[in-house]
Amino acid sequence: MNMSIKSYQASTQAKVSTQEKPPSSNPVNLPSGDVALKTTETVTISDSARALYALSKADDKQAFMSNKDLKGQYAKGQSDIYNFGQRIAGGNLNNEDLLPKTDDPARLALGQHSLDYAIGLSKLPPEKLPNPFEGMARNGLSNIVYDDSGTYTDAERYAAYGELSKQDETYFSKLYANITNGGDNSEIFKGIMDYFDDLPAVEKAAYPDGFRDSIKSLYQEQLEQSGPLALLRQSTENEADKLAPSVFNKAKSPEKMLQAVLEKAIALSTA
Amino acid sequence: MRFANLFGAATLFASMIASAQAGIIVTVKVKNSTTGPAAYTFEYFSGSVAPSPSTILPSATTTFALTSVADTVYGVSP
Repeated sequence: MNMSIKSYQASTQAKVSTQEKPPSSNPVNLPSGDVALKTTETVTISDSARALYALSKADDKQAFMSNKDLKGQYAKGQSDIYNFGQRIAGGNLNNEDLLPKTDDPARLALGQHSLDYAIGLSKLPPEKLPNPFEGMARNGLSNIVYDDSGTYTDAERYAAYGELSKQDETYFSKLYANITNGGDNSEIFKGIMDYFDDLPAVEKAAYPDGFRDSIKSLYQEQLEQSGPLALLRQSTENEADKLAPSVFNKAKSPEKMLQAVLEKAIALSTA
Repeated sequence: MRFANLFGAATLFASMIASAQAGIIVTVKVKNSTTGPAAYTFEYFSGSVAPSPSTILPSATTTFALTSVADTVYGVSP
């Protein structure tokens, strides 16, 4: 079944004027342990470093959250993405909070390219500008989308969500292309379970209780129907046998991936 | 923009009933051709949806599947 959502609204020819960016050195005053010296050291942490730190702590933070809080965080993340998209589509681009309030060039470049990407999508026909988050590992993107610390701008979270959705669509469209009517769909159910198992806690919370058990039950049922050959295949499964390669790139840490994204944003600005 | 409103509940309903049997999978592909994001949700369905319903950005496409352990599948009421 294919469906298309269309609107007949006038296109939004949105432009963002260059905004004044108040400098923010983000000073952190550290108490000195040496009383005799009586000095105070001021350490400046770059905004890029703050973003990397927030990304590295997201999984730890989610590990201590209740399911109710995780559901709330997921709902808020989705709501923020939706509301920002509506705002951009409505041409409401005058507020100063669209770009990161920093003088860190990497963060400014990332914020600007994310905003350009979002505005491009809101045009009719859409103008597909490069997404600075393209190629970043899925769960690192998720940590940015569902971050509620204010570390990332709405535009950055929107662009991260665009890349996350794209990677999910690539995975599921390939997985579901192998569905057979009345045949063995055990690989489909396994693909869904693999995907679910690797999701961050905040996204798992979006699924109803018992979701995995339900899919596992269908998977087992399919294996039983398909007979010994399917059971043999189950015992020899490995990564290479998967119909769709995993969407979860675990080769690099999220922080390294974000560092690469920041460097790419700078490169896009100078191109 | 709410997915349930756009969906044409009767269309989805009919499609799912047509292929209803235990363990069936119904796939749905949605393309957002508007200039704004589309939030899709559901009011009721029997079975499991993967991936979970979420916002679809402008010009993006999403494919999801509904699986059922029941003999009859129906959902997305108007």
